[in-house]
Amino acid sequence: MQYINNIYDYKTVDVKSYFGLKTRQAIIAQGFTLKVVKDPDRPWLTSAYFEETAPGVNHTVKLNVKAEPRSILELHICNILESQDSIKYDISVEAEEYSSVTLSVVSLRGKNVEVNINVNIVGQNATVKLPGLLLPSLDETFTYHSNVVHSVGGSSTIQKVRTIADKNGVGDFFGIIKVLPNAQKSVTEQVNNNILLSSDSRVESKPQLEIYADDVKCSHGSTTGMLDKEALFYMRSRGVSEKNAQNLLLKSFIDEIVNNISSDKEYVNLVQEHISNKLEM
Amino acid sequence: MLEIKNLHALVDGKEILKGIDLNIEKGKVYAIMGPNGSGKSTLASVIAGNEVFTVTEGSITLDGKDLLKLKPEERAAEGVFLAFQYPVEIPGVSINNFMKAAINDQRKYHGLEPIPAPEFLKLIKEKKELVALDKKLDGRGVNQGFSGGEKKKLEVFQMAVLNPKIAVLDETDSGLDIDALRIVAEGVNKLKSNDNAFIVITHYQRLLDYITPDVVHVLYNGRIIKTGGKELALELEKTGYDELKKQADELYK
Repeated sequence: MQYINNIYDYKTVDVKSYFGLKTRQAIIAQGFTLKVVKDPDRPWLTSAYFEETAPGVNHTVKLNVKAEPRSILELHICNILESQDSIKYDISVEAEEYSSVTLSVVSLRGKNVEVNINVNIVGQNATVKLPGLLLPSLDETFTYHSNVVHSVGGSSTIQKVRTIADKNGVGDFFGIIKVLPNAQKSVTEQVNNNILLSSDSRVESKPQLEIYADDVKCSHGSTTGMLDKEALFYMRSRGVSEKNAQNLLLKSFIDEIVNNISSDKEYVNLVQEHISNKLEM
Repeated sequence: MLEIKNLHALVDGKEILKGIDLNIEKGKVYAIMGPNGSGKSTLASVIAGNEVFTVTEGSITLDGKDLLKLKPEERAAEGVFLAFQYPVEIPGVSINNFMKAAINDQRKYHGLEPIPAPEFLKLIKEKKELVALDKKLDGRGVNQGFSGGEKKKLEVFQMAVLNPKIAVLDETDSGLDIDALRIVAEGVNKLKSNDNAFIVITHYQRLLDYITPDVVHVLYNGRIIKTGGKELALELEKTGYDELKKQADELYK
């Protein structure tokens, strides 16, 4: 079981009975696969992602992950559910010293997709990255809630979550970053940017920062708006069709998140393909 | 080539253009001068098809085709180009991708296949040299973090790539130092041919030292109040607009 030693307590998944071992690289559950990739040449790197979400999914996935000292952990969630299906994740990550954690969320399809993330940084000099992309449309509701706690100092968190909501889609971002009194020299950045493509789409955005230490560098921000009309006219005045001008703007908005989502280029390409399908690019 | 007849346009219910007549012929350069707020930029935007403005009366035709019925991208494909007074920053969209999209959508409009990659790269390289565009800008988004001068050079670069029939330069000289002004003007002069025409909108005579206009129009309060040769620009530089404004105010009281 060495190859999953950075994913501990995986049996707490409440659909435990669905879990079984299929190959050395994957843990299988009914309805979805958590793929854990261990590179024998780089034993300190753990990469895991959920894939192959099957029809009829309607449950909660609970997962506790511990990034051991000096380990690199990548956990990626990409939701492409059937339109009537819903899923909820409760994911807890504990980051120890000098660990590097990337936990990405891309929600593309599903009736209700709720992702709850808890990150506790318990070791110094840990790096946590939380990229996220929500593309709700056609009555979909995608929720992203996170709670990041810097318990000790010298660590960093970068959280960039973007939403493009269209046709009655709802995006909900609620993120707290807490820097406790002992967490001096913490660096945190939290940004939530949202684009509304139609007047019936909606986003809620609550970026929150609680700082109890006095020597830290922390920022947070949120923007929500329609596509820049001036930029659209500028591009169209050069001959770019309205649809392509819109796509170029959306693609640049998305690429900044997706291009750096994972060190696994194959996964990045796959996600980009699914995004293009969703946005009919 | 481009005919504008009795053009009236408004924005937010306020009439800005009050009956413009212009006949633009191939192979010529037209200067449009005038004080602030006279409607020069509105005229440029209306020609390019900015939907912020509503045309209430009149017509614009390019080689007999009714431009007012066309979308901005269709006008571009027909050969209209507007160099913006304030070029828009588009972070994350590279200059090359932007130009490729523009060329290919224009080609699609004319029923042509996309441009072959080697041909595209050659064209881009050639035109970047024409306006001495700094290579370090390549990695950035369109106009992203560009200086005023670089933005205007990029406008001329795009004009060179798209090779329009009629190019409208909306205060391309504003915000330029003397070197950038010269590069921009040289770019325009090199693109001038017997098949195209330029409308140069400017406040000052300065740009016209480098780009010699065949015709100078003075626009004031939504109307063309005086037309002359290149000497009119020199005269205005000396006398200012006051006397002309007074006459026009009297006439359209």
